[in-house]
Amino acid sequence: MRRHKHVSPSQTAAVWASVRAFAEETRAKKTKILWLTRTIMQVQHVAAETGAMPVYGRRVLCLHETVKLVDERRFSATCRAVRLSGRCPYWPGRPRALRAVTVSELRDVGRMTMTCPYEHQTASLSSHLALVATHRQLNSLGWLLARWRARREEVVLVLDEVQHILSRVLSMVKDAVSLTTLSRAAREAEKYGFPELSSKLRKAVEEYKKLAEPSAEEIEVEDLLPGITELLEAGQEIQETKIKQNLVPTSWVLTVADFKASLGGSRPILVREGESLRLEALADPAEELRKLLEGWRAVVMLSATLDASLIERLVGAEVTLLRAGWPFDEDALTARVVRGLTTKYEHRTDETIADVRTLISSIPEGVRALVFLPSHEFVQEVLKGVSRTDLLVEARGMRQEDLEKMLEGWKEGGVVVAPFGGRLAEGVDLPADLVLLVGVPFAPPSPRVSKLLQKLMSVFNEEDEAWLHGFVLPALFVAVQAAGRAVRGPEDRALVLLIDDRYRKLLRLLPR
Amino acid sequence: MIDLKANVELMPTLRRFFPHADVRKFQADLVNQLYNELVGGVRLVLIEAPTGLGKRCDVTSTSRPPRQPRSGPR
Repeated sequence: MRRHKHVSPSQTAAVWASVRAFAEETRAKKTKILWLTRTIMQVQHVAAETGAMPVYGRRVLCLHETVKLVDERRFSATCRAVRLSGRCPYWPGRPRALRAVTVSELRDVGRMTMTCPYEHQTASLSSHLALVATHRQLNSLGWLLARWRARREEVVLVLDEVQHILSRVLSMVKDAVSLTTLSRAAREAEKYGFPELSSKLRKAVEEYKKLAEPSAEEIEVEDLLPGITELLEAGQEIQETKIKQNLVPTSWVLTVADFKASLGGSRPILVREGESLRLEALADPAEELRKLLEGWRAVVMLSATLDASLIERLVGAEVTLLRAGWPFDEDALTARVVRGLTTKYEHRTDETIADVRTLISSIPEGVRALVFLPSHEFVQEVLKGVSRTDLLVEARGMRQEDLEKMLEGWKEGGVVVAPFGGRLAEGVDLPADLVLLVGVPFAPPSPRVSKLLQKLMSVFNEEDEAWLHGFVLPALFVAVQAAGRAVRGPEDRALVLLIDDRYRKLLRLLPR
Repeated sequence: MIDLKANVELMPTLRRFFPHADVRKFQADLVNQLYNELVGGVRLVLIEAPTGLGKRCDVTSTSRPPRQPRSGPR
């Protein structure tokens, strides 16, 4: 079975040839290429195929025993504090330009030379015409360009799997903080001599827990967090104390301060996901997209599922669409709408769950089947009544390596059950004989969806258009991406069943 | 929008930048068209390579008749 390979190497080769030739043609203008894709595995594939220099994040390459264990959000601040206090044995080291492609190669060189692999990597940047990295680099583009000695107007930006970036923009999440983090910040404030701050944080947590309605996944709430100055001053003092105590200088209070800054005076959204609760600060999608796409020599976006007119309207600039046809045989993928069932929330009954159980139970043994369901909760509910022994289930929070291990035995047949939008619904190769798309993965009603639709109303000036681009198409793209896992090469054949009455009305919107 | 053609010749000047010996369906036209767009000064290009869903789509039915739609918010 082929999994986790780069989705479409043919696309990579073709786009590379064009942008590389363009860079050559405009050499006098110092044209460079920055290629951003989704996963580290894809970075390695693109680097191997094109010869572009791979760039990995500092955390991925970190060799420091304790700092490398710090979570992503607090990693940069922690690493910086440890470096500047002279407590990282690998920094500054003796960085030198080198040719290393994989993460393990860079880490090996770092260990041998007692030098941070990230510093080795950045020492090599300026001599390269093309870089390839993950989408995460979008958070630190200014820094990357400075070290690369490049300016936006000199760079052709290639965004692979750009549907991820657009869906992040449309989710409008600028920043998030869990109630667990707020509680930790309260305990930290208490421990380091800030009882008043601690009390305010505890009260905020209690209030938010009361506000979280079991029936709603999201509600808009008041900002009950302490002031930004109070949080920042306490957080910095806590960080300095921890350095003196020879502790990892992370501060939960500083994390809350960051979130407070992201709110910028707006009200947060309280989100419930399973048992956990978090606050989110929302961003303006048009502003976020414009910030990302403006100023480059050119931007080339690659995707199987993307709404070009939405990008045009949000950015206010023309997008040229190049559309490739189906590269495999006509009968490689057949799709059928199955009527008589819907997972629409207000129509969901025990009968719906029973119908889906019957569907899963009736898949013949030995068939490689992918079943996508509306949510993790739906998956759990359905599987309570299914007794197959060949079920492979993507659980909430499952790590990539656990998924890969789980799928090792799938080659011989079996039923993979996963939620739409999960790890198995996108970016992986899962050649299958049968795909069941149960339900249309529409976003449930929420303050976030309302805000997005309001925003799109102001962009499109038409309610139907706002609804189509902000609600209908994103759901269909999630479904199409899930179905697309099954046919990944010229030999693959799959039947896709679109199981929901609502698909009938949406057929005209599906890719041909 | 430009619909790419499945089988066209790769422009000879671009051949040396293509990293493989064989050129597959749609690749050559993609290379040529994208290069022309970039040289022509286009700033934003979206390349759509479909997963193919809906290519041969028809409607079938389960044994149970469809439920009656109810009024209310979507």
